[in-house]
Amino acid sequence: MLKKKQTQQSFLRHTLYMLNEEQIIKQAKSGDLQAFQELVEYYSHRIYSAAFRILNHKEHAEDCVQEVFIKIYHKIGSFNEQSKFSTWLYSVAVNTAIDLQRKHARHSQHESPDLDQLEASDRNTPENVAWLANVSHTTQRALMQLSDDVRIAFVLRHHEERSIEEISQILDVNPNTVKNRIFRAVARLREILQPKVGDYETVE
Amino acid sequence: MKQWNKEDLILFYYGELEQEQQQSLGNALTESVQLQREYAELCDFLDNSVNLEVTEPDSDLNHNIMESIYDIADQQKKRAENQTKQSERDNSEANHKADHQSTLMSGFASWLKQIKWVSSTGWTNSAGAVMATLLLVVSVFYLGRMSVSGPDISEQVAQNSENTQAEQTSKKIAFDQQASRRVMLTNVSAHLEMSDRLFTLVSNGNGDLPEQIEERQQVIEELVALNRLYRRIAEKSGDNQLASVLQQMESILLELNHIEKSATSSDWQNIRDRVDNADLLFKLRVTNKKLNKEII
Repeated sequence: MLKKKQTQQSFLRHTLYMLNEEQIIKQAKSGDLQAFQELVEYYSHRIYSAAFRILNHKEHAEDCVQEVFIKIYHKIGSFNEQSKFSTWLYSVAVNTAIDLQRKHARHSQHESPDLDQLEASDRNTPENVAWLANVSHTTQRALMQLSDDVRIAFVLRHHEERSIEEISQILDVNPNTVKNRIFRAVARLREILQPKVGDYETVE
Repeated sequence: MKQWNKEDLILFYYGELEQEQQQSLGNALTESVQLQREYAELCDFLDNSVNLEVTEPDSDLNHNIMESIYDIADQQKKRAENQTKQSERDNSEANHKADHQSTLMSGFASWLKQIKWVSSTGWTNSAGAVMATLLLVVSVFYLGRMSVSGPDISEQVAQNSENTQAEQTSKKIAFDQQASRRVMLTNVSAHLEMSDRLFTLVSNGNGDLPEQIEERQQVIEELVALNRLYRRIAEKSGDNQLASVLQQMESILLELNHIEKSATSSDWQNIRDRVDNADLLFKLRVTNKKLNKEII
């Protein structure tokens, strides 16, 4: 019941925001901090989840989101309203995440994935928690075996549900290149993950 | 009849085929058992095997972001005010100078009228004296720069950065609790020293500060990352004093990290004022002294 109410509220918030986005961006461009806060509130979790999936680290993803919004604040005056705000935002986010990843790679050659902090949401039976953690852990490890460009294209399409056209704008590459990266990602992930499916099922 | 391949099925799954193709593959799926099986396998894999749960961010993520934004907006407002004041001052000075010059010119004209001649040797001597004075000023300026340059701060900072990294690596070795705390404090202390050098450079503002900061951009980026890490550790371990100093440092480090190349002298003055007004160097040194005592 509570879950349903939350979903309805979130849908209403989303609709309300989308109806007003153009106006909110105009106000933010003119220096209205209240409007900028609305952008932060609407997008921060989305950007955080993309950053988390790229960086595989909670605190690095939080730093990334903070950096992204500081950059957006400085650059919003130059945002061309003819393009989609979310595309521009994701493009800044992906570049920032890549920079941070390189920087952190310099500091530590290998960091374990941030799985111990996984929250079980509403499916928190011990079996489901174990299953989810297992799948998530294995998926993360498999994703980390892909090259950055292939992994980011796949994460944006599969997890962030961005269209191929939008991803091509975010990454500034041809749509066919994006398609190829996604095909390569799916093929490689199947190679890595399918032999492990039996392992999850024993947990389930 | 078109032969559908794996790539088409992937695009179909994501709804990325052209509408006509999407429809035609939909029809093919109802007719071919083989295609149905392949598609079902793909769906099963993508729906169930590629899940990636996201750890929830801290509940104050938005609050922290907006705090930084309000901070930056405040600085921008102050800069704008300073610029307005400066341009007003410049205008009034320009008006004053213009008045003064016109008075001088009229005085000079009347004086010329009175004496009717100008001694050419007198002018040569005056010009020589002016040139000699200028030469002296420029020489002193460059000698001063050469004598204060000393060891390059960026080298020292890079050296310290390497030391810090080495210390961080050694942290991974299983020390007992007290020893690892000392290692941690040593790292924080090295970080404070590096930041101290950077803020001193900013505060003194000698030479071409924008260029010097640009040269140290990489170091500043690393200082931001380390500062965040140490602030979080300090917050988690309840060391509020250290956390507060690191918080103040972070906002200035972020500002330095994001400063535009086109920043004006008043932008730099503003950052200098922030360092000075917050007594940041003093707080930083006191904190570092305390840490060093604890390390010993």
